[in-house]
Order: sequence, then C-alpha cells, then structure tokens
Amino acid sequence: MKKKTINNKEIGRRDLIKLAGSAATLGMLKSAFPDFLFASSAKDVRRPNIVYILGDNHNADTIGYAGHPFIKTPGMDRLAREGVVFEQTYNTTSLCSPSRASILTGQYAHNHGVKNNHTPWTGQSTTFLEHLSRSGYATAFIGKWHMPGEGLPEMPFLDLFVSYTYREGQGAYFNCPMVVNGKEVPSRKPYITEEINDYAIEFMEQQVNKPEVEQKPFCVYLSHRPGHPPFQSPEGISGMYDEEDVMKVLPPHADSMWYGKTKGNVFQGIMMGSYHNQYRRYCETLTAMDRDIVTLLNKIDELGLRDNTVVIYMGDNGMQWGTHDRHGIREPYEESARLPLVIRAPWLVPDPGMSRRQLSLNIDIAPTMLDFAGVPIPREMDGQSLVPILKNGNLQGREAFLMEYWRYYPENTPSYVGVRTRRHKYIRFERGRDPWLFDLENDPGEMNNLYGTPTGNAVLPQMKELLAQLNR
Amino acid sequence: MEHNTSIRKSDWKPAVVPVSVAVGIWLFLHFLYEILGLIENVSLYRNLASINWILLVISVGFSALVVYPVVFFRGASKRICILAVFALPMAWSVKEFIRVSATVTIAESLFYVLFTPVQILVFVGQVGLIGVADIYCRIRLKQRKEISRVMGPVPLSAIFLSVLILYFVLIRGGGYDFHLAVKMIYRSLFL
Repeated sequence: MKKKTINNKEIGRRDLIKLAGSAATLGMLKSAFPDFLFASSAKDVRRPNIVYILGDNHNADTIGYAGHPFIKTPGMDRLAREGVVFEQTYNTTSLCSPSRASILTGQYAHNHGVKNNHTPWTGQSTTFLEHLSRSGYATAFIGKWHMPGEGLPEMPFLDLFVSYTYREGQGAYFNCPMVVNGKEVPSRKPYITEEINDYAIEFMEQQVNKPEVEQKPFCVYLSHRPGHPPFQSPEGISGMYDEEDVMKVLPPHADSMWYGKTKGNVFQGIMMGSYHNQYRRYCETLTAMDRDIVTLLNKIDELGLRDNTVVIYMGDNGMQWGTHDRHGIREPYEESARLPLVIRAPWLVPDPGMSRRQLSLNIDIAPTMLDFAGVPIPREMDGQSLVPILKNGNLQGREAFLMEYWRYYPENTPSYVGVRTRRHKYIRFERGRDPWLFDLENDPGEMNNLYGTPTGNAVLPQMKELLAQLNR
Repeated sequence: MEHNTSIRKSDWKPAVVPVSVAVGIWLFLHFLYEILGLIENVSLYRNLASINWILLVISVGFSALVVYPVVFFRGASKRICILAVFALPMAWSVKEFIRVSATVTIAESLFYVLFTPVQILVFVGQVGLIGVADIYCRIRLKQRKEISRVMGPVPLSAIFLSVLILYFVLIRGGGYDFHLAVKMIYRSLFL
C-alpha cells in the first residue's frame, strides 16, 4: 500500500489518526474563537487582503460602466466586470470630512463628531484600520486624509501612513509634498495619483516578499485626490476630452459660462471660465486616477494576489454638475449623495458583473471590512456588512437611512436632517427652505416636491416616524 | 484756506441718471437670466443665456468704464464719480447679503459679502477700472486742451493695486490659497 505524505514526509495510519484528532480539536477550538485567531498567511481566503480605493467627489454616473458617453475608466470597468456594482450607495453626510470619517469608523457623523470640514477629527472613534491591525493585519493608509485638526493624527497602529498636509490636507495634483510616517518628504512622481499608487504597490510587494512565517494579510486604504477642484491632469490625459460634447451629460440649461457661478454656488478663482471645460477637466482627473487603478490591478495579478484580495472602489461624495441649478456636493439630491461603489471578491460573488440595488452606505464600509477579515463588528458601528448582499443579491437589505448635514461656511446649503427609504426622501432644513419630500420611484430626477400635497401628506407621518427612529 | 469736504445734495445730480441706468440694466439682465430658464428650446436658450451672461458680467464688473466718465463729464467731482461707480457693486452686494442671510447668520452674511472672491473681484476690479476710466477722462480733457498731462500716479497706482489684489485672490494657487485664508479667518471669528 502506498504511504500517504505530508510535506514530503511519509506518514502512517497512527499518524493519520493523530492528525485527524488534532484537526477535530482545532475545529472545536475554532468554533469557540474568532476566525482571525486561526489565520496564518495572506493566502488564506478567509483572511483576504483588502485594497480599498477612494475617489473624491466622484459622481456615480461619471464612470464607463455606468454608461457615461465619453469618460474612459477601464480600471473601474474591469472591477465592475469582475465584481459587483452597488448601484444604490449613499453617503450619510454629503461633505468630504464627515463622509471620510464615516467610512473609517462605520458611524453616522453625529456619532463620530466630524460634522463638517471645520470640526476636527478627535480620534474618539476607532477606525476599521485599527480593528484590522489589532487582529493581525498589516495596514497602510495612503493618500488624502483631509479631516480638520492639527496636521495628521497619530495612528501608531498603521504599518505605513502616507499622506499630506498641504493646503489643509487637500494636497496638490502636481509635486505635492508628502508626509511618510510623520516625516515630510518631497514627491517622487510629479502627479499625485501615480505618487500614492507607487506607495501602495511598494507596500503590497513588501508584504508578499516577507518570509512566509512573517506574512500577514494586509489592508491598503488608498485615498485619491481626483475629482476635487482645481482640476488638473497629467500629460497624455490633459485635454483628451476637449472635443467631447458635454451637453450629452450636463443638464440642458447648463450654459457654458455663467452656470455654476450663479444660484448661490460659491466658487474659487479656478472656477472662473467655461463650465463645460470645468466638467471636461473633472473627467480627465478621474481618468488619470483610473489609469493608476489599472496599474494597481495589474500588479495584484502579477503578485498572484487576485484570488485572495478584495478590491473596492468608492467615492466619498457624489458631485452635482448643474442639475437643479446647483454645483457641488452638499445638497441632498441624488447626484450629491449617491456614490460609486464596486467590490471585487471573486471567491464570494456568485454572479460577477452583476449589480445590487439594495441601499448601501458609506458607514457600511467599516463593518464590511471587518466581516471580510472575520473580525467581530463592534456595536458602536452604525453600518451593516455588505458581505451577505455580495454573496446573495436577493437579500432585501436596509429599509431606510439617515441623511444629516451641518452647514459648512461659505457654502450656503442650510443644515438639514432627513430620511431616505427605498422609495422616498424626506428632508427637513434648519432654515431658509421648505421641507422636501420626493417619490424617487415616480420622480427619480427629484423635480416634484410632494411636501404639502395630498400625496405627500399621505406619506409624511411614516417618514417623520422613521426619521425620529433613526435620529434617536 | 479751508476746504468744504461735505457733499451737497445737488452734487449728486450728475450721478443720478447714469447710476439709475446702470443699476436698471443690471436688474433687467438679472431677472432676464431667471426668465430665460423657461425657454424649452435648448439651443436657443444656451445662445441667449451666453449673451446674457456676457452682458451681466459687463454690467456688474465693468460698469465703472461707463459710469465714471459719464458722471465726470456731467460735471461731477471725482469723489462723486468714484461713489457712483460703487453704487452698482453695492446693489449687487445687498442682493447677495439677502440671499446668503437666508442660510447663515447676519454676521456671517456680512463676512460673506466682504470676503467672497466674486465680491472682491467686483469691488477691487472697480478700483482698477476707475484708474483706467480716469486716464480716459484725462485724455479727453487733454484733447480739449484743458489739461497738459494725462498720466498721474493716482490712477496708475489704482490699476496696479487692483491687479495685484486680484492676482492673490483669483490667480495665485488657482484661487485656492485665498479660499483657505478666508476659511481660516472665518474659523477664528465664528467657531
């Protein structure tokens, strides 16, 4: 009889019985402890690597896979083909810093405390990166931090912290000075997306090249600057959309010059000039970022990590380009609040290339990360893991969520609080405006405010009740 | 000899009609822009809106080039000419103040009309244009042989100062540096 071998060593029947006994004991132990205690290497799919890519002010429809008429985003399109697009993803506070804090902590802004771009990050809430780090992940934060406070926060649990403080953390598209693990260093690459992409690739390579016994699963949080103004893109991309007819995308009344500078839209110096060209430049920055996403995905393939690495692309806010006479990210319209979200996790998704219509949120990212890693989700997190929906597109998902916003000078959107259900949106402003009530099923463009109408009055009590529940 | 620095009611007379016309044109174009949104033919709308935009920019941003010489040659003093030029930007600011105060406090609204780049563009722009308009008036006076020298330090300084401020507000760092500076001042005052 041919003897069985393990690691090229011959083993007998007695050895096999011992091994089976050990395996059974280990199995019992595993059921009693969290999964992560048993993970040993990055190749273990139950402890996948995670690469989370965050865009800035990325309108959810300004992507190739979403049917945009001219923007080129082959990287994101590839993710959509190989993963799942969450079509109904929203931020809970439509502004940069609160949304970023919500992504990191899994909490609504009224819980994590970063209410607008003036209120500082206090570190009082724990980020998912810290949870992952404690559970044995190698973690890296690379790119835009952009939360108010004195410089960058102390995050000693990170294995790599690359960011920038230039221009209140907004950085610059070209030659942006970087802060690497607390030390200011010059930019190595001229364009910001290439610069931070390189740091991400180097971090992944370092993890893979470690001796097997030292290897840990890793999580890279890669936070990009496109499409934040002032829009600038690198050579080869700059000007590539000059000939495109932007009126295929912008609303009919978005005339080329005056638009975006009236109707109470605050603008900076750079926002002078053609609104149409501003939109073209915006698209170019997104394409520049996508070029680096392509590079990153290729590197994941090259390193043999594709089948045990979750890749996520998401935006922190949407972006309103002239709809409802508004330009920006703050109004509680769909264009501002809806985010692009695509998740690739080949071993989990039975139907790659499909989409999910369940309501998903920025506050779902942190619990989803922990769920991927087998880390228990703390009760402090307001969001829910998207992993069950990834696995099964027929699940119902949440019924409603809270929308909240604290006015942010100099923008003139008043503070508001509201509730969004699968069908309706109800928003109550602090001052200066009547409430909004939209039926998004029959009026997806939010053109017909039902507040004060008989139809609206029929729905309103239920919406108020939901709002009270969520806002408790 | 003591100069009388107060302005008499009759001193304003040369400015009343030009200022009223300038403000009237701006108001007309402003409301026209709102009404244009009702046009359903997109191509027609965009053409009209673009023309309207150019006229609006001229009326708000460049009115000094017309108001100053007209008021000057109607016999007003330079002080009245300068005040007349700022009437339209003031009207614009009042409109902005009313609009913004629907959302923020009165103090913040005041801060807004004083420090928003577009407000500064309008006001500081007028300073430079007053310099240009004054040089134009002096050229005309010289042609009439009423004065001998066109260029003077005051109008040239006004132009230089205006360009310098606008550079820092709108051009340096793509306008973002000034935007951040204003936010910093805002935070120190209001938070």
